[in-house]
Amino acid sequence: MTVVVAPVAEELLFRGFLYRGWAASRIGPTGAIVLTSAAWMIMHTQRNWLGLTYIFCVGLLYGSIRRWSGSTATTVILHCINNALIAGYLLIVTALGWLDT
Amino acid sequence: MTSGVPLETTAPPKTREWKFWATILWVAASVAAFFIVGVLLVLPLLGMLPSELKSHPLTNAVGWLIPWFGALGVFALAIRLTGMRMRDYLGFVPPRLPDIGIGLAGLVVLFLWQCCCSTPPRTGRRRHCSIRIAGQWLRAHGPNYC
Repeated sequence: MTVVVAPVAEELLFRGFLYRGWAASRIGPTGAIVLTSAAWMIMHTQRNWLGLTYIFCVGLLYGSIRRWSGSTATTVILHCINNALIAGYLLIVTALGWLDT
Repeated sequence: MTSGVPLETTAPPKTREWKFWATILWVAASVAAFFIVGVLLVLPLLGMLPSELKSHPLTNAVGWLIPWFGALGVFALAIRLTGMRMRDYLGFVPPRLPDIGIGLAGLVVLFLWQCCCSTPPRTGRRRHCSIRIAGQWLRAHGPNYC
């Protein structure tokens, strides 16, 4: 769910549909990258300010790659890899008892 | 031999793109579709399941996927109305390896930056300090909060 379904759904919405529509409007591709990143960040309100800043910066990265490459498939792959690595990292630190639960 | 009748030329199909506000309205419609499908279809189905299946991860995943397909249907309709193919509108072109490489490098930089800036949660601070005192600094990455 976290590694495949959520990234595909989110990228389809933010870097796919929203980016396409907003990039074609008066705000242009740069404005679309910033706005889609902000909208994506708002979706992750369970995080603290640092986590939100991180999400916003990752959104800027994905948006820029979407613009350079013209490919949403690239951002889907990156998003899946990122979520898989974070999920793996959390599993390992939890299993080793490094993380208080 | 050609007849005197002029050949019919087919005009390229008319396409249009949704702009700023129209995109927001379509997203709002897809969110509405997500909730409508969830309330009208998924919740009654969940109600019929035995209690031990309700908390199963697969039930959770399917419970999110079914409403998502409702939302996807709204996107498909919006894109169909533009006269473009879904693949072209959403940018589903094959990825290139250099782009993935650049993206991964960027993700690594951002992850390391987040690790360096993050403070351990209050509940984990005592453990963080004991790890540092024990000299196991690799396990307590980032600044010293002790």
